[in-house]
Amino acid sequence: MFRFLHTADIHLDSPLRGLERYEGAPVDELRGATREALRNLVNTAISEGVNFLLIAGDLYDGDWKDYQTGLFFAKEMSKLREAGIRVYIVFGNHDAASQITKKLGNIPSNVHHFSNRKPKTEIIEDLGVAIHGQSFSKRIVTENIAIAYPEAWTGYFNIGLIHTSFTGREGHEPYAPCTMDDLLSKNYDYWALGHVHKREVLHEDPWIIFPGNIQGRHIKEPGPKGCTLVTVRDEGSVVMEHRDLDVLRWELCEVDGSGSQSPEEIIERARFEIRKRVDGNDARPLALRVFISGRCKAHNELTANQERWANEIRAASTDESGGRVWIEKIKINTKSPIDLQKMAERKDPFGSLLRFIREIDLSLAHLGEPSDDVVQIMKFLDGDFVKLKAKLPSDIFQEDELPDFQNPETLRHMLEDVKQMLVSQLLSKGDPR
Amino acid sequence: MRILSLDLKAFGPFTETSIDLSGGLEGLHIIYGLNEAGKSSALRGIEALFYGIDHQTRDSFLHENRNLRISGSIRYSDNSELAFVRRKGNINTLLDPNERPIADSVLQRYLGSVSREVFSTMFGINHETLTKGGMQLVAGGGNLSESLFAAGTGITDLRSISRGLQNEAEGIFKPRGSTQSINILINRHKNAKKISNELSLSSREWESHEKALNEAGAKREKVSKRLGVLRSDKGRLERLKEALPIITEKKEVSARLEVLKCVPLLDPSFPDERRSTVRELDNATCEADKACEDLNLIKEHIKGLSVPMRIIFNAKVITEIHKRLGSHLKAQQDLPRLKGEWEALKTDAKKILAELRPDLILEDAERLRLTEMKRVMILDLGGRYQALQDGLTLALETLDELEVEHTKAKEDLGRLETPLDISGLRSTLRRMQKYGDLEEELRTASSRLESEEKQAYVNLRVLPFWTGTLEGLEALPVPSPETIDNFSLRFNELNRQVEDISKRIKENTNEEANLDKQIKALKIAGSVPTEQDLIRERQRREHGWHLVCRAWLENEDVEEESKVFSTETPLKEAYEKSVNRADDLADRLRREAKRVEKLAQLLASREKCLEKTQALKSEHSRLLCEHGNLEEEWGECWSKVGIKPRSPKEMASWLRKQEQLVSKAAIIRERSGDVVRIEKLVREHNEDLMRHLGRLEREWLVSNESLNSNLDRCQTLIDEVEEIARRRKDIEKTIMDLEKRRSAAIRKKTKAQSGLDEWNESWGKAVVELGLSIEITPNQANAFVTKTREFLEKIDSGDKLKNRIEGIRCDAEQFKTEVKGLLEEVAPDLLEIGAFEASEELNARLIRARADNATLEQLRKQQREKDDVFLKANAIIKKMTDKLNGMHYKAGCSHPNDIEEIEQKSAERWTLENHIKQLESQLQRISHCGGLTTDEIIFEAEGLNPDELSVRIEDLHHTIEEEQDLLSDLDNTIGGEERELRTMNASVGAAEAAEEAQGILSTILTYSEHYMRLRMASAILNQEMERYRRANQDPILRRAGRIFSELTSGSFSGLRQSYDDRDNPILLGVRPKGEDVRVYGMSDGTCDQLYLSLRLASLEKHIEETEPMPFIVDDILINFDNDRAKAALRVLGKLSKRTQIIFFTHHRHLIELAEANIDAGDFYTHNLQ
Repeated sequence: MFRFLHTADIHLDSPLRGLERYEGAPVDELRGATREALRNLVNTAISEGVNFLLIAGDLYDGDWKDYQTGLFFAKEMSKLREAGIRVYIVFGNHDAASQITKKLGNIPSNVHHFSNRKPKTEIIEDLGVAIHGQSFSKRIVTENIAIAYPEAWTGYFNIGLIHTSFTGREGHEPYAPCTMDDLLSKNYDYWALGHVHKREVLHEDPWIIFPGNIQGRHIKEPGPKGCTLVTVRDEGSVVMEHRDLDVLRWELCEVDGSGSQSPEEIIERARFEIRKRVDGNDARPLALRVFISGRCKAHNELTANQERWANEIRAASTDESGGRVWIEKIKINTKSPIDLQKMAERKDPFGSLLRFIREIDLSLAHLGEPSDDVVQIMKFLDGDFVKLKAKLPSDIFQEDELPDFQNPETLRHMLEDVKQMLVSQLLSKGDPR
Repeated sequence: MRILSLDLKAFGPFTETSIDLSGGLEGLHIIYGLNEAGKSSALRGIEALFYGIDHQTRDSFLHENRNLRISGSIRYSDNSELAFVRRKGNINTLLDPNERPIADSVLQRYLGSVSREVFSTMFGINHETLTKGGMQLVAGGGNLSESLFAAGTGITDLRSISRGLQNEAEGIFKPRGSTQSINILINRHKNAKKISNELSLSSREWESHEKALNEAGAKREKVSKRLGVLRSDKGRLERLKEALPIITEKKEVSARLEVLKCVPLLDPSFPDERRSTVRELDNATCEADKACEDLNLIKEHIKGLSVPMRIIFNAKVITEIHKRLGSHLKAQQDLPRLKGEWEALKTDAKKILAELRPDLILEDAERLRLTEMKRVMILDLGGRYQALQDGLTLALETLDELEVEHTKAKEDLGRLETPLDISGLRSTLRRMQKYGDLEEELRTASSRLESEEKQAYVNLRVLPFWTGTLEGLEALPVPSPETIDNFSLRFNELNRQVEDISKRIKENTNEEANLDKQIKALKIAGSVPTEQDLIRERQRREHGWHLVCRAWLENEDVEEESKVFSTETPLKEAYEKSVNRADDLADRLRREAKRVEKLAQLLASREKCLEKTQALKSEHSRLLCEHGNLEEEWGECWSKVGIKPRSPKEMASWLRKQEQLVSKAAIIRERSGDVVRIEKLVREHNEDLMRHLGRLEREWLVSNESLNSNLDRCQTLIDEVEEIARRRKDIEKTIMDLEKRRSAAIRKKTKAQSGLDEWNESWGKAVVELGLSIEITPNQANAFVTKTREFLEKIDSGDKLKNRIEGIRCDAEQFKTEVKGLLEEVAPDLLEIGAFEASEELNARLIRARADNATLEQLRKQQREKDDVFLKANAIIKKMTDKLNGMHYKAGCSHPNDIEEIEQKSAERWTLENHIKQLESQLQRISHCGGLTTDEIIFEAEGLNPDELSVRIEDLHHTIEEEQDLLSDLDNTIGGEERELRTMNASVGAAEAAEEAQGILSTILTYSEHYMRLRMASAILNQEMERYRRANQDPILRRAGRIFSELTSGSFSGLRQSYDDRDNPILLGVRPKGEDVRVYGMSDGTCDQLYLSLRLASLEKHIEETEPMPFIVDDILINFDNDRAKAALRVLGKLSKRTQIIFFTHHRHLIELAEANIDAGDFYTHNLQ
């Protein structure tokens, strides 16, 4: 019997994204989360007594140049060397782009990385294991490299180690694509895949697995993250289990504000929802994106003083979780208790305003010829956005952080918020009582 | 839609208050209420009726939340009607008139899609929004789109909302700003990135340090190898240098040792040992001699001693017998006394027995002996007897006493009467007590009423102009203080004007007199020719000339006319005269020009003065006439009152007095109400009491007594009845108690009796066993037992004495036999004397024999010791002699005298050999350190020059020092590089800084999204305002212009649009003469009216297009003067033909204004009181 760990997409030292810093946020606890997750990986390997570790690419983050990161990796790998655990790596698109990968001079002797020229086979004679793998030679590899992988070695447990987008996965570049048949045709016993950050079992017998990344880095990578522990019994059966390694977990937290009379009531509901998530996560720090929705009286005050109520929710979450929750973002999607649909039908200035907003919306959806008024507004907004864009740091445009306010869909989405904001402001301040 | 009725069933201060709003085409309903009358509640009531009662309402102070109810009925423009009720709650708050829930949608149809917020904003206006609206107009500089939109929606804060959006966005980002949130964050992000880059380690840097470390390590290894070789060379030479002197010395010592080679090598301790052997031999010889002498002496002493051994052997028996001798002698002495005592006891016993049981002899005494059990039992029984007897007696006595008490208590109970049921009376009384002292209250109220009435009467009597009653006074339709003030003002104004005119007339007359005086003075100084004089003279001359011409040229007869021309002289002369006179006058005028001018001036002034006086007088009479009119008006104002008024000031004071009296009248009414209420209470209370007493069949209460005394009596009655009840209860309790105690006493008596019976039986059994009669008392039995005990003690003592006497005799016999036996064995010579004496003698002999025997033993011990000493000394002598002989042999000494010399030489050999050993070991140490044997080092040292050696060592030393320095430099380099690499070892700083940058980026993102939202909101709002203006400006401005003109009483003729410096359309007021006025040129009040005009015009336009909603107006005319208020009411009156207007006010005069200015059918007044 032998066991091994299959992991991928470590993206060592790549920063967590979308976490605004605020008073009470667990900044210190979550410093260097990807390093912490790697430590967890090493500890798991040692405590589970595995024989070897597979890393299916994207060990580093592409444009990250700090050699300290490489040194950290080397340090952790030397712990595995002391424990007699071998490490096999294929480099992924990020590693191929990384400066650190090119200078892997001081990597301990137990770490083996595969050539980027053609698929090679590494044999572990004492276990009867053959590992086939090929690294990325450049950042963008569009050809199917799986095809060239060698046939299975008879009498050995054959593992294919490959960085691939498989048949294509949303949100991931279509690198080194391949098909299920490509992989199955090799008659391997286990395919260790990397590149896609979401855990996914593509096939059983033989197992074809994306283990996902070991630490979620933004809200689009929610849920538990970690590696796959594989046990191969003497009679040849293969058992697969997931092991969580993440130190911070990303989750969505939806708060139904329907019918609440005051923002304080909403805060209480948010507090309750946050509590639920904290309790369900065995004290692991959380990064939560809070969505508040529902038609309620509190809407006016919430939208009028968004910053204040966002701070209240943050404070409540700090309080409720003992400082273990980081509120990533608070999206207020509540609706005014007023029926805006009906209001839009009225022949008064309020109705006219709402009809105008509808007209803008229709133009944005390309459902009508934009009127001069609409064109004027679009021009105005375009000018504002161009000025803003010119000043913002370029990083904000990478990874699609900043919505494109020249895109009609983005504007339509924003228009709904603006409508709610305008109505609540006009009607709450106009109240003569 | 309009409201037909509003019923505030239970809301705010209202209970079942109904307001009928059905009057009129749509109707202008003025709802009047003083402060605190609930005007605001009624206002909120309308909104609550339509949209529900607020969750946290202010209107539940009188009625509980769940009881709050407002109902109403409304009518849609298609004449359908809906009557419904609103309650407070979360669901089903809309009910039909029978309080069954109805769906909200039913009401929705009537409300159109007007939400609560829109209703209160668009269809409501109050004083605050009015002034705010006016102010916003000014603040916006009359911006037309903003003004129209604000008036169209009713939002007064529109400007601050639109500015707010703009300002917030500008606070977040400005392209060229530095203090805006995003601008600040951009800098912070830049810094964090910079730090991350700085902390970031390039792989080249790492490699260079690693290379330097490896090089230094290799170098260090080489140097340290070289250093090793040098150090070993230096060590070898140093060792040789050390070994050389030792080798030389060793050679010398070996030569000296060669000489002593044949001397035996004695142990270094040999001489001492030999000397001590000789000493020991001498000592042993002396000791042997002395022991021999002592032994001879001891042997002689032993011969002189003899000891009787038989006595010694029986020493124990002899001593024993001697000891017993003393006690035998004492017993022999006591014997006669003991015999006497025994006899006495026997006699006493006999005596006692004779008393107790004369039938028995002394030998039967044992029959009297009782066991201890029996004795105790008898004593015990005797003791219990008295207690049992006492118990029985006590029980009987108690029983008797209880019987007597019980009978007495029963009698007492029989004597008490049955209590009455007074619970009703008591509760009535308690209820009445809650009212306090009603009669006192009545007295106070009456006396207060009386004093108020008296006061009012006196005040009424002294009130002038009024002789009627107080009620009449109250009902008088007196004019309001404002009217009087108004009159007062007008009177004052008129009087002031009259006075002013009179004063000016007087001043003018004075001036006139003054002028006359001057003219007169001028004339007194000589007549002053005037222009008029000259003109007159010239006319006369012309007339004369005319006459002359007619007579001369036309021969007319001008006789008659000439006479008229001059009566005295003929025409010719007269004409001549007149020519001269005219010339003279002209000359004088020229000559006296100054005086002429002065006079002319004075005359002109006087003329003007006269004219002015005339004008003033006519003004004066006009004012008087006006005064007359005013007085008439003033009189008329009071005509309804039926009083001829004095001056307004006096009348104002009268009015104050009258008001005081009126309010006094209200107080009197209230007071008399109090008195009646209290009187009624007293009467009712008395009746209640009567009713209760009637039921109790008590008839002594007389109803005309005072309530308090009746109450007292009732209280006394209650007290009495309660007292009786209490006493009955006490006695009943006592009886029960007595019965309980009686049964307890009977139980005790029975128990005592049975105890006594048991005792009698036991007692009989016990005394019969003693041989006594049953009748014997316990005391007698006790005496018998005691005496018996005494008798038996005597018998026992006698028996003891008898035994003792017999013992003494036996002992004496025994002693004598034993002494005799002993004497026969050890001293037959003493058999002849008595046993006691012989015993004494034997003892003396034993003491002597023991002393002799001890001396002999001592001597024998000394003899043995001396024998020992002698033998040991001889053994030592032999041993030492042998040893000495052996030593001499070992030293090879033929004669004892040579021994000392041999010892000396041997010692010298020892020393030399040791020295050699020492040197060898030194050499060995040195050679072994260098890894050589001694011989090798000696071999190497052969032929070495010691001086050369030192130089070579010194050279090597320097070379080593140099190499060591080099090594230490290399160590430093290695340490430095290692340190450097350690600091680079996997530190996380750069990653953390990047994480911080990422955090900042997130904040920027949030701000950016918010910024764009704000910009969009701002753009849409501005654009919509502009759109609204374009679509609505013409009709609204036209209509608003007309309203504005009416509201400003024609001060403005209308409104029009213009543009400001930035080409923004703005609003202008137009004066009747066409002059434009911008809003900031208008007064506050005018701005309010402008805003109202725009609101009303927008509303009119709105109801043209869609179902109207009631327009709620809350006291907006506070700051309007009467003319403008009148105009506003007229405008509202007109508007009310198209939409219902509900006008709340607490100003009475507005109603009066409405009454005076609007047709009676166009408005409806509702009073909230």
